[in-house]
Amino acid sequence: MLGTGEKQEGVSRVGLTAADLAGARRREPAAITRVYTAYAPFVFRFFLAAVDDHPTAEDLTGDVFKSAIEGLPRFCGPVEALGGWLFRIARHDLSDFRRRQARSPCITPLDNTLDEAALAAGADDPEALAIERIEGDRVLAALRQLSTEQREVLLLWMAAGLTAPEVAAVVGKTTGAVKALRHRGLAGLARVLGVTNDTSFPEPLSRSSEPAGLTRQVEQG
Amino acid sequence: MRRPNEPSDKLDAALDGRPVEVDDDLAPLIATAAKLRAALEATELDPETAERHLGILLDSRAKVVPRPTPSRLQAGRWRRRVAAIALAAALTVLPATIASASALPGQALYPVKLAVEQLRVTAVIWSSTREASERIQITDNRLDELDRLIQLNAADRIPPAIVRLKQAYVDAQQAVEDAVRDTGDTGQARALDVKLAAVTTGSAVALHRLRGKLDQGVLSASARQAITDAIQQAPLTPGLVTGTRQPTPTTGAPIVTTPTGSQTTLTPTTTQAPATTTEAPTTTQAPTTTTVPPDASGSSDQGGNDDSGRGSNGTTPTTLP
Repeated sequence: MLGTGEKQEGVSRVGLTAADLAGARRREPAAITRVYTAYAPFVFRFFLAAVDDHPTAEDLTGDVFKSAIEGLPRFCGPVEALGGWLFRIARHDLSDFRRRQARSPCITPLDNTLDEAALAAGADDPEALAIERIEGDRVLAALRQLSTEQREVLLLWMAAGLTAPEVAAVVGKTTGAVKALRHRGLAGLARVLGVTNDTSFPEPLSRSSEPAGLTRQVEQG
Repeated sequence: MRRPNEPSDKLDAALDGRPVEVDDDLAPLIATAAKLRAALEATELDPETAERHLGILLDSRAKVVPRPTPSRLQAGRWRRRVAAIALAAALTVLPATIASASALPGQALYPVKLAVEQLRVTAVIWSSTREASERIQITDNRLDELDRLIQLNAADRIPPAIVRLKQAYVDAQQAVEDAVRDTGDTGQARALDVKLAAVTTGSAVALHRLRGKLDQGVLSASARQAITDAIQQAPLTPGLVTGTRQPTPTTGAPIVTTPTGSQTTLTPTTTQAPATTTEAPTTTQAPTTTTVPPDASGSSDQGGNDDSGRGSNGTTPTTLP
């Protein structure tokens, strides 16, 4: 997640600086690479959880960055606001995708299943990996049963790592409304998943400022 | 006025990791949030997809957004010019992006190479063994770069390349130790040790060749000083200079590889540095053959890194920009 750790002036939570942003605006390859590397995993998670199809999520992720890099000269905010701006593009693209999808029949791709099987075959513990994947799929399937607003807020918060005020800015609601949607969304998800009071307490939910998958930032070339 | 302890505030506090007393109503929500987080974090972007995306992004940087022009004739000319620029960019940038794997420090595509490496690590971070394997591969890449820079006499780029190699080596060593601790698998530990030892040996050879160049006075005095400083500055990795590394503590006998390629199996009771004396090559020329320790058998979890030798083998140096 992008985390809610200590904010440093002129540095985004994923470690991008104002110089990176300026470089990306000038289409410098190194800066573009840093922006992509910093945010792509989150954008991909956001799309994958929403569309449940790897190739589609990958394509949508690529499109977001293409639009973003092309539109970056028009982005006037500080580097700290870049994440929110990217996810506004992502949300817009997702809406477009949904509209297109509604006009064409949905086909469940076989490739995902084959990819999963191949991945499981090479894993340290294929059985554990398979169980983990099944549980993950179950959670994401349950997420898709929520209302669009609840799902969107949960994804922007969890997959994109935005704070409640940032989510509020992206979806055009108040922070209080976003928190309420988050609360109701989690309650709905708990119901669908059958998580009850006697569930053993999970690991602490602190949202680290050094998220998994981003613990090591790209070395500077 | 809002009461401070209403459920949504408590939930916010719990979800943000602040200390809060969790009651029976909130526990399922927090458990659900943890499940959702785990499900989302299990999804990773494929490094090859990331590489493809970056190729497109860096290719499209040459696209020019045409401004409104006064006449159709000019617009047509402008469009043709834009098309020509885009085509030229496609012909030059895209193949270069695909070839980012061979980029050297200082070249435009080098950051792409580093980013792709980082994404590869991120993609396998769920397996400490695979992560260790990737990190060894990255160290091998840094060694390959250093080798090529030495061959090119690129004095100004050699010191940062040395520092990068040392850092990658330290990361790889740490990853191997983590993998051994996590898995407790002696076979895998040996396989990783052998791979890292091969890189260690290669580094010693490369640094020895570099020292030869310094002795011959091929490089300027300032370059010599910068290179010497880079070798001496932190992180200190004496193993890279001598070609020996502290074997990863395992329950089995660790394998130590010397620059001559011989392997010595130590007694399982020690986790100290090997007692064998390691001699660096005495010649200042690059050895024509570097014996690379064979990969350990029975390692099915090497993430496709079958080139346990040095990445510079058979690589021809490229011309620096």
